[in-house]
Amino acid sequence: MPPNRIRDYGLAGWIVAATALYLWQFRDLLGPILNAVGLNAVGLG
Amino acid sequence: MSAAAVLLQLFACLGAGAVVLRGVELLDDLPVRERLPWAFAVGLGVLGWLVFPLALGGWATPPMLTVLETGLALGCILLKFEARGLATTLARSRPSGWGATLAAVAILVALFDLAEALAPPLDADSLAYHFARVRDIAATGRIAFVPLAVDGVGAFLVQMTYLPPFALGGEKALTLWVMASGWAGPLFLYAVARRWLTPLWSLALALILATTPAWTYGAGSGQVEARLALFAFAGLIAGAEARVRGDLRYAALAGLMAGFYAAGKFLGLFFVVAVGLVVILRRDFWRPALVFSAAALLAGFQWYLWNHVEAGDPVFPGLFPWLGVRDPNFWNADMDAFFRATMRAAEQPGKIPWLFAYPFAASIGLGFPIWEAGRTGLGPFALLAAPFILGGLWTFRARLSQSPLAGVALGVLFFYVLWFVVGAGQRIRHLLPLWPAALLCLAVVAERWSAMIGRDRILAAAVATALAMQVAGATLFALPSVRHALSDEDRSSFLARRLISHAVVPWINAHLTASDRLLTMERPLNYYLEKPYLYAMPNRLAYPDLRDSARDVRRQWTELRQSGITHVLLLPGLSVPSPDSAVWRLGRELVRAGCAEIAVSLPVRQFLSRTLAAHGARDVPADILKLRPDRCDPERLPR
Repeated sequence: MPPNRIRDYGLAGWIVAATALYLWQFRDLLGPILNAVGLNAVGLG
Repeated sequence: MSAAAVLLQLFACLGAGAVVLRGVELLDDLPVRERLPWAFAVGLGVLGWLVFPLALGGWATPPMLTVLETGLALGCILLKFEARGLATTLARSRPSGWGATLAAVAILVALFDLAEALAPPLDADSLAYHFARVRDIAATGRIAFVPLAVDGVGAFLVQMTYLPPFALGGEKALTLWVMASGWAGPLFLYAVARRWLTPLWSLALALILATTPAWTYGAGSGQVEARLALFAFAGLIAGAEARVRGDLRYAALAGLMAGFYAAGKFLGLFFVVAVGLVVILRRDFWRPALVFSAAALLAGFQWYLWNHVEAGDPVFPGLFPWLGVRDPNFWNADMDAFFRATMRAAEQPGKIPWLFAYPFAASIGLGFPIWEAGRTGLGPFALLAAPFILGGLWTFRARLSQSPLAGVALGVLFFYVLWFVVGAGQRIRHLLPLWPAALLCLAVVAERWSAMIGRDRILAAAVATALAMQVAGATLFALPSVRHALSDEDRSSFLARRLISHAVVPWINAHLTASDRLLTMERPLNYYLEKPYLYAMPNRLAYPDLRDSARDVRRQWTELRQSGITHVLLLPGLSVPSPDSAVWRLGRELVRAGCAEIAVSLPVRQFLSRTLAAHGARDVPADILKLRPDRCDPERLPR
């Protein structure tokens, strides 16, 4: 695989991983967040 | 009336800033699109600086404030061509698809801010003192010294800028003003970013700032950081210009802005040092250093002098071990030790290994909960763009020092190190004033590297992802205010639902008289209390002594009486045993001895988050005790 392609995959992979890493800190708030946006009524909260 | 008060102050700031910029002969040197935001940032500082002596003299009355602001607004005449140019540019602009999308998001965020401004204020710090202090000053036209560490004694230039809208237009003008001044930061960033970035990138950057969690949390409230960001941004840009050009005009401007920051928060003293270091990083440093120092002193001295006169310590209680205090009833060595221990325990400052890990750890919620990473953090942009930032720093390392942004980045870095090593704690939101400048540096280096490798779209994806997460957070934050704005819910129902412990307020306002005085430790209620109160956070005032270790109830009774206390708010009430709390124990002993009676017990709602009101929500009984000195035999109280 050409080095440029590896770099591009690396950059895109970083964005995905960093997004997951950032969102992970809110995992305990998922219930209250769903509740706040009104999704508890359909059993998601 | 509210809108008129906000508009008058907007023009007053622009006018005052234009006059000062013309005075230092910089108005015409600035790029045309930057003149309005520069004028606003400078003028905001000037306004706060001028209102303070008025309040000190007892002249901060509506007529005087109107005269002052009208006079300052006349300076806008210097800006008339800029305003005309701005209108023409806006009328001619034909944004691309992405530009239109970002503009639509910006309008949505602005509507969220408007909904927040139209609802009664809820932020705890704002209600405890940012707004409560302003309300008290507006009632008399005079600022009084408040013998209370942190909340009472500080540097309050920004709060002085809240006074005219409140005095002239009431609460709505105040909340609209914090909304409007909260928009100034992103607009300023946009205007200056255009020196290095395209309109589209600059707009994206401004939006990243406007939806940064800490910005969303604080800009529309009385929190000062979003206002201080204007001073910090202007100070860093001017300081960097002074470093590159050796231009004394920019050194003077940098000094003024750094001084305004110091006049708005004690932390600003670190900023004066940080920008001062940037300004003197030249071979011929002494003249810029002198000009910078004189300007910073002029802009920043007021509050430190006042604190010194009133408390005996310009940064009370920071220098207490060396300077002592003027009134020993206010503070003493015991209290000082207790204050430092509780602050250290609460804020958990300065673990040096974190100095390097902090930016990463604080982004993803590692480290200490007190950093408040998720709730009031700086968002995911730097994390997502990290490979581009690091790639750019490495690739362009030989040219970095020649960039005008190098001085800006150095200033941010100096402040960060000082704040981390010497500061009292590491709450992320205390870095917010430096965030626009940091964002600009990070974005420019990331954009340059992505352009060099021809991968703008991948960086754009990172920016779009960061923005999407931040806008989602801002939406969540705004939802309760939007629902309130779209419903016919009245003020008291909104407060009952959204403000922690609010249920006791209507009773207090209805049943206490102007000659009563309530002892309260519930800081978010201060602003809404219409009757006299003593807000007594146990580690912030020595008298009455309410530390949990205090056991001498007889002495506490005497102190309560000498402080004019007639009622005590107990939360939780006596039906919920809380023997570790000195106030609860005090209440129990007073009732047992017949020195107080329960005037009323009310259930109050408490929750962990006002955005996610159901999170950790519970009802707690609160008692309001009425002191009964007529029936009290102090000899029966334990000591």
